[in-house]
Amino acid sequence: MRKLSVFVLVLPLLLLTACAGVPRLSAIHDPLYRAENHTSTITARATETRDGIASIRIDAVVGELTACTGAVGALPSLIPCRTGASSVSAICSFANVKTEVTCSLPINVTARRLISYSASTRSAGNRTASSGPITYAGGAPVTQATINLGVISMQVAWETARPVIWRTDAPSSSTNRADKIDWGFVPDADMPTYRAFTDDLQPMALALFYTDTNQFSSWTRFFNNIFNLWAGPTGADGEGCTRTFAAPASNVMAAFDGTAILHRNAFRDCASISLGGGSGTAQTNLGDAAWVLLHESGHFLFGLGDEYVGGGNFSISEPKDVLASKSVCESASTTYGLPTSQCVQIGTSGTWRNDDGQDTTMEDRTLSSDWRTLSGKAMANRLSACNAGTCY
Amino acid sequence: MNDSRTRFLLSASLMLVACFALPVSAQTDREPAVAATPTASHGGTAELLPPRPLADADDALNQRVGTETVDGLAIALTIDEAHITLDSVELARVPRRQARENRNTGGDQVKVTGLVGGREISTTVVPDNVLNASEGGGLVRTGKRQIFVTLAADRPLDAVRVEAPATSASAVLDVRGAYARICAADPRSKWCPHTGTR
Repeated sequence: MRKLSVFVLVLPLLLLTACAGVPRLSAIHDPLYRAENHTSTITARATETRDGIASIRIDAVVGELTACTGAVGALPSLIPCRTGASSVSAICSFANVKTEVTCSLPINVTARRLISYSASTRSAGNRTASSGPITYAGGAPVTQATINLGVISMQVAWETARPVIWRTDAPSSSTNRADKIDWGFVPDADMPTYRAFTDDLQPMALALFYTDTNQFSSWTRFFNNIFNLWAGPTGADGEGCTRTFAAPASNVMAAFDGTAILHRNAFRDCASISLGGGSGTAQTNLGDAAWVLLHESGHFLFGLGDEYVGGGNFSISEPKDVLASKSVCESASTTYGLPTSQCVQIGTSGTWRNDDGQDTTMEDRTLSSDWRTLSGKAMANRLSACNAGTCY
Repeated sequence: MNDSRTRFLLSASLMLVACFALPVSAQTDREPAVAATPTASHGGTAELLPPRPLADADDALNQRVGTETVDGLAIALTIDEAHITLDSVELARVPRRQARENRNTGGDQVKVTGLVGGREISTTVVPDNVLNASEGGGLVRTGKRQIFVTLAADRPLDAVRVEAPATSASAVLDVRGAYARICAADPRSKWCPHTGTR
């Protein structure tokens, strides 16, 4: 027992020693997505406080986005390919700086660009770190595909899903392909322009996955590598719980595990309670728009129910965060090691939740909320499923 | 230097220039990727390495998409209580992970099965978005909803069978129209239902 105690005390020290000197690195492009000509800047940030950062390298591949129809007989694809690509690299050298350093590579984005990038860094102590490759689109989108039939070819009207943040590690036979959640975003009919949609998407996605400092976004920021973000074309219209998708939006919807219709007009947001193919609405011009988006995704990506009085008190998550009776709540709580005494009825709805008194994202509209109790367990289970290669 | 030697050297020079000009021309067709010089913070230096062309076949992204997609149909359906209508169906390379048969979508499901001559070729399931959470409005049941499906199919299908038990909806929908354009352009295509494979 004494040996075990010593080990427990020494382990953090060993871990700290092992991690000391390892650079921290992140890379992101800006703007995230814009369907017109623009300059896109890929910025890598690195920190290593012991020895300092000696260099950062950004490797990018830039080419034309296609529907993958180059080969004879190839059908147009819902997710894009690239042709005529060039690789470009930037190497930034530093005088072993111990605070955060940045290296930026500006990319000229014209019509139908598809860009992949990754970054790596080296410390003065020769320790390295690298970021996984990300692919994104920019410029005017593809609107038609040419199918190569050998002797002849034919043109068809076509749109691909437009990657905003697409995690594109090199293919590997050992990699299960269902280990990411493909989250689609489309503009509502009330968006004044497509540019307005991409401008509104930017701060919501950035906050949720990268830059916010509030508790509600901690889960998505920490586990952002399980999400691919996609933009879709126009054609969606949401109003309350009525959601319609006309072409061209309807043509790419099947590539997404869940879709958010982003809107500006005020109406009661609504989302399907679903896993792996639902949709919902989210208003972009709210002070807490990123929180609202996350709450709605709790419904249409994660099958969670509202835990507040007067909401959609129904769940299909595993475990359910909204339960049919006190005894079912107590049973689920026991299974997941939660106090059964925390089971409370949601108003007089006849449905129950496990409530630890802290702000939780499916109940409390506050930036300090988190996935707690049974919704926290459901999110952990979804993460495990993704890590095992089958998000859905 | 006599005339014939001059002509020979001139011709050889022109040929050499032409040989080198071809790849240069091919490269300059690509739009310049970099908008400006890279920058480094904290007084660091930034160097841009010269761009290198990448063959489509060597592009890891294309390899990934090839691995992650499969021939099939992208289908949009409207289910209105017990009635099912086909909004659109497109012959396409579809994401493999969304076309899987054994997806764990929980809750109500729509099952879609591809049929050739009544024989089942492939199946997938998607969530049936009947139940919705309306913020402050409670649980809302939408009997009329749109469903989007990717179905793997390595041969032309006659029909798809759609089953949505949440509203007791079931139908067999003719999808032969998805192949009409490609077969009109190339009747020998493997996607032409009545001509079989090449």
